[in-house]
Amino acid sequence: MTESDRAPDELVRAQGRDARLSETFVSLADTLVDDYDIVDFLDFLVASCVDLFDVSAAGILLRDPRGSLSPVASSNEETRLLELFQLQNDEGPCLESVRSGTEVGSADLAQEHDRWPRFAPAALEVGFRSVQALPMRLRQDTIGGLNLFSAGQPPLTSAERGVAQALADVATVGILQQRSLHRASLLAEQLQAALDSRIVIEQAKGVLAARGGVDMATAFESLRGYARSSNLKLSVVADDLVHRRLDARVVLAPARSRRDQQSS
Amino acid sequence: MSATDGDTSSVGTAARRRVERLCRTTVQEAGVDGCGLSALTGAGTPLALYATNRVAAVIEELQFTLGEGPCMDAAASGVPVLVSDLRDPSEGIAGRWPAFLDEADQAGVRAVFAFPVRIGAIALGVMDLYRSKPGGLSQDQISTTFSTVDAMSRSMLDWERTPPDEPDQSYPLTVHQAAGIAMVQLDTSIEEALVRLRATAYRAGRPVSELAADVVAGRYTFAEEQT
Repeated sequence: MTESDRAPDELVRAQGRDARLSETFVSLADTLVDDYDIVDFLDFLVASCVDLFDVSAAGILLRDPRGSLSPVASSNEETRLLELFQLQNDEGPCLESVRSGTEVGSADLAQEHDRWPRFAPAALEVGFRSVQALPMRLRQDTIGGLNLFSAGQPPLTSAERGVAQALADVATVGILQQRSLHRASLLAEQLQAALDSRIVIEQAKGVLAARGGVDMATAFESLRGYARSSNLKLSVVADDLVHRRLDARVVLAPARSRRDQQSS
Repeated sequence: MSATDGDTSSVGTAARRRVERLCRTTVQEAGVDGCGLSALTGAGTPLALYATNRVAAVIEELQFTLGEGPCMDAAASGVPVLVSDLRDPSEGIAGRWPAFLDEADQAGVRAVFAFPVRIGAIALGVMDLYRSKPGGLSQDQISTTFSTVDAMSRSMLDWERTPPDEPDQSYPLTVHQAAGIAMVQLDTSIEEALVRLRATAYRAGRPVSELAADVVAGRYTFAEEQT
């Protein structure tokens, strides 16, 4: 699509987005220098997708060594959303996208009951109307997929899908860049490292949820908030929590005081 | 807690057989000459559990006695340590494991691949693969080994305590969330929490993922169980 094809308001919107897009690419490049954490990186990427494309939720699934798709990052940590990602091991746009190495989507999930008898109703129930899955490809291998869900927004334009694919490509490069301890850093290792980090984060979310009496989304926000304000990696904070080197109350404190202020 | 301790001997044996089978499978699928497995004790020292042959057993013993080597590094860092030629100076290992390299060479070991066995923050052990000739693992061999290591992690949790026979696939994320919750409710370690979660599901004849969903939703709490 060329610039002249667009309505004026869409053009303004696109220009604002272009500026944010450049910032996103710069930040992503920054994140890629030496000692970065893959889960932090992907977490930033999914948050950027929600911001840039005006979608309701974004998530990244990676193929584990068995070939199953595992969520590693999600813009929204609600358990129901993670379950929706996980469901795609059986059917859905991400599974198809990873298998074919091409983008797969639907502008109206209400029409897709025959195509995805389990995924379509589950996505509609969570409140999503459309979905777009983009492959994360490295040469002939597809290592996972980027999922974008919308509640009511218009489906992504082809230009937007192109940008989203560029971000998915950056994410792929990011994963491949991660250094392991020894020099033979191979794809399978890097994928495994990302999945391992994600498991520690889930364990830590459980600890925070139980200790603070909060839901998983709030538990993750506390974890992320604490990691950012202390300039630590998410997986490091998570590991400290699970091994009791860090008191859950310390991590929960800011989130709790924020909520108390809102309710009073 | 005694309910889980009831019939551990046969369960332990089943887990042991499974671990042995996984080691032998690894030798074939990864195209290596042998495979050994060590558990990590509380203090972080490895304890040899099984080896497919004498040389593999020597590798496990060496690291325990010398306190250095790829297995120790893999255990400490949580990432695999892959050395395709122990005599190659460009591997940059000469200064790191001087005693281990010497002994391994005498035992006829030229390549070592150490994979940590873990479930998130739970460090269970290390699986060591070796070759008597230099040569790295292919991408496919690494993938298949990761897959075996994943199955191994559950078998190691089973080692003396809990039931086998779960579907041979990765846990959904809710299981790890539930383990974190159970850890707080039972005031125990994450390792013990996962064992308890699985044992409780087994006794109730339910899939672990189903009980985990109940724990996450607050429909089941572990505190209630202690009567």
